[in-house]
Amino acid sequence: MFQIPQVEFQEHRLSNGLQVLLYPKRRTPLVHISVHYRVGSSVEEPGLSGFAHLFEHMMFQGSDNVDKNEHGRYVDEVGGRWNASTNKDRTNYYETVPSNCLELGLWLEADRMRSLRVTEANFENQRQTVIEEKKQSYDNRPYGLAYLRFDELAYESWAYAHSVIGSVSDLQKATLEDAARFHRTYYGPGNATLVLAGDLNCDQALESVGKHFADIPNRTSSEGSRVEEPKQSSEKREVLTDPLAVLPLVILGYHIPPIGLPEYYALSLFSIVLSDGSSSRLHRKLIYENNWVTGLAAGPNRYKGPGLFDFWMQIQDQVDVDQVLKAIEGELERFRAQPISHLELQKALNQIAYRHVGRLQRVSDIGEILAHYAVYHDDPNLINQELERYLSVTPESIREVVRETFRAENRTLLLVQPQASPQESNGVPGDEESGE
Amino acid sequence: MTVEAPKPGQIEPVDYPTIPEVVLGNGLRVLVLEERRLPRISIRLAWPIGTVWNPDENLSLADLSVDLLKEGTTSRSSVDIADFSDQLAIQYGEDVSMEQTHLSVSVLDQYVDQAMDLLSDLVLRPTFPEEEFQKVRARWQSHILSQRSQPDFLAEERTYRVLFGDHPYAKISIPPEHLAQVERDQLHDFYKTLFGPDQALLVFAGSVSLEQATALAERYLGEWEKGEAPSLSYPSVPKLDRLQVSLVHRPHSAQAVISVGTRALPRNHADAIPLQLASQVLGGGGSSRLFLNLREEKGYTYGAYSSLRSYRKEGLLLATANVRSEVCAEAVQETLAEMERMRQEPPQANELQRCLAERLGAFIRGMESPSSVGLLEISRRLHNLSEDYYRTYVPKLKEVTAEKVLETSRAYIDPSRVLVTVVADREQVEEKLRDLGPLTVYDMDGNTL
Repeated sequence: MFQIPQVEFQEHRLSNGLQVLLYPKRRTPLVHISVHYRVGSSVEEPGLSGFAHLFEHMMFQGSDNVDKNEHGRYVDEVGGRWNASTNKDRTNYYETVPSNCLELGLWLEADRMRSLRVTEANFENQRQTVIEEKKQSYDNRPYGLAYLRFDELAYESWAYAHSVIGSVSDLQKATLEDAARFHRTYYGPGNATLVLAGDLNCDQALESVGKHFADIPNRTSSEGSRVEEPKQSSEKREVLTDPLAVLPLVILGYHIPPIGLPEYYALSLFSIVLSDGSSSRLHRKLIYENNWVTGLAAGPNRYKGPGLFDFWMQIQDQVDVDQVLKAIEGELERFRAQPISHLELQKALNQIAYRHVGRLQRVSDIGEILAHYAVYHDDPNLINQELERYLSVTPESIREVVRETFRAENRTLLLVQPQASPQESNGVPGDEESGE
Repeated sequence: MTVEAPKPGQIEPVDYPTIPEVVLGNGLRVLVLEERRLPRISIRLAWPIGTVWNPDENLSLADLSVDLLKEGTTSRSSVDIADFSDQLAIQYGEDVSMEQTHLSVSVLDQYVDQAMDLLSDLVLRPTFPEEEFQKVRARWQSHILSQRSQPDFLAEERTYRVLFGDHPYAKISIPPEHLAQVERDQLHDFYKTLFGPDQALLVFAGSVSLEQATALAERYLGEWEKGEAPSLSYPSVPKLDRLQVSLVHRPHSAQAVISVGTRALPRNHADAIPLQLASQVLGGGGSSRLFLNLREEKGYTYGAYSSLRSYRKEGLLLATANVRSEVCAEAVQETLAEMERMRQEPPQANELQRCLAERLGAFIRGMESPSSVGLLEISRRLHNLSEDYYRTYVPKLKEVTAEKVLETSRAYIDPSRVLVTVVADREQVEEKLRDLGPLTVYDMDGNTL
């Protein structure tokens, strides 16, 4: 029913364990180089929250042959673009460069996989930078604190409960020795996937990869963390005040199985029917018909392990939050009572197909999603097969998973109020050390 | 032992394509960027009309009138439009900025006819239903309320207000009372008067040929009647004659947002490309002077950047950072000092070379998809850039010398005549900011305190 071109890539593994994915496609003379390490904030121990992300900054602070800030400068000097990001399950480092600079990019990534050379002063400087990053991204933004708080409330498992950015007091405790240990434990080739996508010749590229990476010893690589989340037995609720917010916000979360299972695909399609676009059932009820809500998003949180199906709703001034919650419950009840129509299912599948095609345009997007399938699903070829999984979902299977998921005892609710109302508030916004 | 980095070759030139163009009888210009790699087509209708066309007495007309197009036509209700487009995954978007308005539909190629049918319905036959107008207005009221809680928005609003004074470029936000006063008929008239076919561009990109695109345009937009070509003249506004400081008091702020701004150049000015390079040296990306100084050396911030914004008659150079409140004044001082350094010494050869490569790389990435080339072409025409602007862009970049960057910096980057805008909790920053120059304090609604 959809004519979607296959992504024809090659998969290789070096003897030190490094997984290598090559996707040759020339449109412009660009190549995207990306290394995904199977390590995120979920491996952090209590007391060291935020370390995986702080460490990401260290990877720009120097290695055997590359000084502080030189990584970026080398890439900038050839007109490339570079960055890195850390989430709960993985950390990625990437550069998109003119294709005649492939060799340079590989050399840079290999050097910091092989070695780390950071001084105390540089470590301290990046600690300050990360603290400012936390303020910019969370503390100084409306609802930023709620964003950090929600997983703490919903998850029992520390691995997913604590935030990626971490607490300031934990960041203050981190040491340079911690960084060296982290690099040894998690940054070996056996724990990484290297993706090259774009204007490249596979044979030559593979030879270059071997030249730069093959002699990096496969240090003890960790299994990563296997996150276990106990079944929730009763609803959790909390009210938090946010002096920077002007409207209330409600976040709901229901525990769901890990990514990639049949339930995940059913819930992803369900979320489109529920809340994507102006024709979705919640948009129509909460925004179009009643103007109770000003912003709405819902869907699986896409963590690798135990997930949450989240709802985020910014509530209009003067609107009763309970009325909104009742309306949502009413809509969920309709899904439980009656399977969605085939027309609605087709709509959701059209949306999935469209999005998939949209991600096949730029070499950086293709490279990143190939790595995503490798790291999250241990199966890069899912890039070509995932649509089949969506196509096997039926209205009845959606109804089953909706019945199983959306139960009151499986729910966490966080209400954010713009003004302080002390009798209700049991969270203390603005206190960065409250994570402990 | 230090190993040397592999030497890269020369960046390969990328040819800016010749874009076929057909003009329909009603003046609509159809451009086609055919590329059959993926089964997707994006269609963009762009007008050189935007919020600067709003009358002074109501700054909400452009945004609301365009927003209302999808809320009802002679043959479809708001609900019908949402159902139809979502069902086929037609991604409909609208974007109203100061001098441009874009409507876009992007779709799997199998649904291109339906997408064009929808687009023509919205453009040719919108009805601006009263009931939907009330809903749209209510949504905008909460939107502007939320907007005012964002520190970056407050900094930008204040910067434009002060730098552009009475110029229409100053009015980038909608006052609540304008929303309260606006009427449905005003929106209808605004749209009907200004949004005709003769100034518009219709850009097809993706899996579609010139013949197909022309036939689709004829069939669905051929009957669109030519209007009167509107024109707009801008008053001239004097530039700042000294450094000024605007402080927007935002209680409970966890950081200070700083923005140092000065009026710069429109893109069709002869010095625009040298100024791009100067801004790149100052604050373009993670190897620039501002980033290395404020973040990597001082640890004041997560990031410090400068950028140029260009409009048809004007431009802005802005240096921005979100910094620790207690070092707010120091961060501003460092930013001013880096601006001054731009005037004192030419960039080093390797620094200029890097900045040139950064601009080149961005240009190549901008040509990665047919729809992004379409955006470049729309902007070329909007900014009145020459026919060969993008074809000669690379040689023009390469001929800029370090001396030329210095000369351009001296002409346009003067830290003694800039606007410093800070959004922060005044308790934490005000005292030290007073030492910088004359300071005005505002509340979050723009009233002076």
